[in-house]
Amino acid sequence: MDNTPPFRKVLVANRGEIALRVMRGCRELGIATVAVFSEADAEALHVRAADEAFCIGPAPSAESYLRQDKLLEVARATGADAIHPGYGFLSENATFARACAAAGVVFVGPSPESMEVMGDKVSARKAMIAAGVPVVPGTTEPLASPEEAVRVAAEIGYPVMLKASAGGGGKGMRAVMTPDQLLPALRAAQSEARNSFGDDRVYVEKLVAAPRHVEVQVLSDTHGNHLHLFERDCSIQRRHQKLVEESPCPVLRDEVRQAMTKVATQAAAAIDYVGAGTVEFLYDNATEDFYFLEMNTRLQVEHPVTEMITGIDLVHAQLVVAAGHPAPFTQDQLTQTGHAIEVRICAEDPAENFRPAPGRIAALREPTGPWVRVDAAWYPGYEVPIFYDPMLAKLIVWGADRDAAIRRMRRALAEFALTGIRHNLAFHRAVMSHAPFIEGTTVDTGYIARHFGEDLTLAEGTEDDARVAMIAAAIAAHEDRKRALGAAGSGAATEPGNAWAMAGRLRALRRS
Amino acid sequence: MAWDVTLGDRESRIEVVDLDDGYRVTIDGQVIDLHASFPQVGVLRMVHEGRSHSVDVRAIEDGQEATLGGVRYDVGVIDERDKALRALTGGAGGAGAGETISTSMPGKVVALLVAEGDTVQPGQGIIVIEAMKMENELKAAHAGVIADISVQVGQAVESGAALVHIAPLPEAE
Repeated sequence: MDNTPPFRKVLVANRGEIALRVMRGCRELGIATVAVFSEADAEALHVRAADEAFCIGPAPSAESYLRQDKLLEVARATGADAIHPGYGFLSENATFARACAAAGVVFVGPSPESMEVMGDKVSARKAMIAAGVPVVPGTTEPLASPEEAVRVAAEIGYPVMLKASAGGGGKGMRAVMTPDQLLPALRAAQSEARNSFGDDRVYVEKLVAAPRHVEVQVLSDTHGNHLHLFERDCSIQRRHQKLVEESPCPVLRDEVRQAMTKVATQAAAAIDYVGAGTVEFLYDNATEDFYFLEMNTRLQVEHPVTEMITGIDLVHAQLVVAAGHPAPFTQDQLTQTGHAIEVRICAEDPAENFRPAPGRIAALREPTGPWVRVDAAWYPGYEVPIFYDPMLAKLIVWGADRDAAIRRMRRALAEFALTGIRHNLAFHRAVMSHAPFIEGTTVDTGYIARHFGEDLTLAEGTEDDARVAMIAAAIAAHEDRKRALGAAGSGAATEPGNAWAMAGRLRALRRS
Repeated sequence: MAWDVTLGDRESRIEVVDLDDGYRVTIDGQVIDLHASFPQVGVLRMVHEGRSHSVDVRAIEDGQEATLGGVRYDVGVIDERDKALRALTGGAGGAGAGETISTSMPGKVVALLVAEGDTVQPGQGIIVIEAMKMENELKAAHAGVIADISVQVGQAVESGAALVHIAPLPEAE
């Protein structure tokens, strides 16, 4: 096998766990890494993990991580031959991909043309219809008039969904259950789309009731190979943000899986895709029909789920195909083995309606042991910045089957200690013990809205544990007081975090 | 030393004395010898009635945050002297001191909904703080008059920072 690294040096145009994840992949392939960082991230782990690091601006991402000129300047100055964009930020920005090409740096991702086709919902839909990919029944063109909306909605049949052409994240979307709601909903969707995206084009689709979100990981190279790495089920979402992902999808029959993965590679082939990508589908639990939703032209947050069940390192594969080599495996060599689950750990308090809660991490002990993986970029004392996404880390486990994976996830969550900030680990603990999730067949994208606060609740703790907590608190207060007195008595400056000094002092106190 | 410990509506008086291998804890008159120590900063391991526990503890205002079994307990812990002191100051200026609006998370001030001298009602929005792409409106708990605004729109604020002080209504004094 050829062991020449696909690149000499890769600039990672991202931060947080994904920057660290990409750098790990680079290091394993013998590729040097360049980190960029904002002023808020100077002490961040992705900076410390890189061979070289450059501050590219103030904390707000518009002034740092989104500064294309600064990124290209650092690439030039360091001699990086490729830029890996991670996810978010500039990962789906065709202008940046073009600027990289013009600067002679490889953008690790598809061509700007592929990105543009998939970046616009209307053009993506047209391309997918042409490629024979099933789409949700509805209009291809934006609605020209309210009259057209009334006519098309009647043709498709209610309920229908209005969606902004330039939309994303649920903005400019309206579900319409009955004909009399249509025109007010259209006006609301258009005004929201205009305010959010500066583009009030709206189209109409059939509303698929209680769908699952099932997506297919694809990998394409420049030699015309379009491969798939099976599906992921990401139905557990809150306001269109995924919180739990797994593979295989627990309800997909093999015939449907084969059809869906075949369609996903057709979609990639239709736009001459290159790199790792994800074709997202709405899956109708009742009819087993599936419809193209969108394609994400980048590495996904939930890519480790696929890595666990295939044994394939997707970052390695991305780098290899970006360098123009054939994919490092064939379709026949890929298998879906066992079951993997990922939970996203966010600085959000589920007890307070998932309010973002930045702050400083006090205690942090990640779970380890068999088939447990944590992708993160934090440490005790880490100050979670207010400027970026509240998703901090991902916990991924693998098991021989779904039941084993759920048990392992429960075990890993029980080992997890994270204090100082509010976070959603308690929510994940609740999900992993929730009968409808364990049973699996009724889970759809309405799962959280339907269950959370009803039969899915955060653990309250037992009366025994409450008593232990009170005793522990008294002991901790007692030790804090002794330390304060000790510091005053000795006259020496005390290092509050220095365990050795404290232990020594306590021993001395006890002897006296 | 004896502590007044509160958790929700639970109240206990807990006395803690050092032993060689742990602590003698007297809780509401019941004496328990615990095997316990801090193997690392902020982690108390203890064996209580045969059960092994590992509790993450850290000091918070007026107490300790204890986390075990994935559940966080905000435990109030004060000693007798603090309690006496508090009763004294609370009696003198407690009711008449008014209300200070502060933020529990660091963020940016995006809007001020009041001006100095405004009279506000309980539940009225005072200031809007943005953190992590989310806006959060902080409200007055009591009626009062805006006495002091310490921040401006656009300013970044730290967790716990005092933002607006509301003096009690004149007739409340």
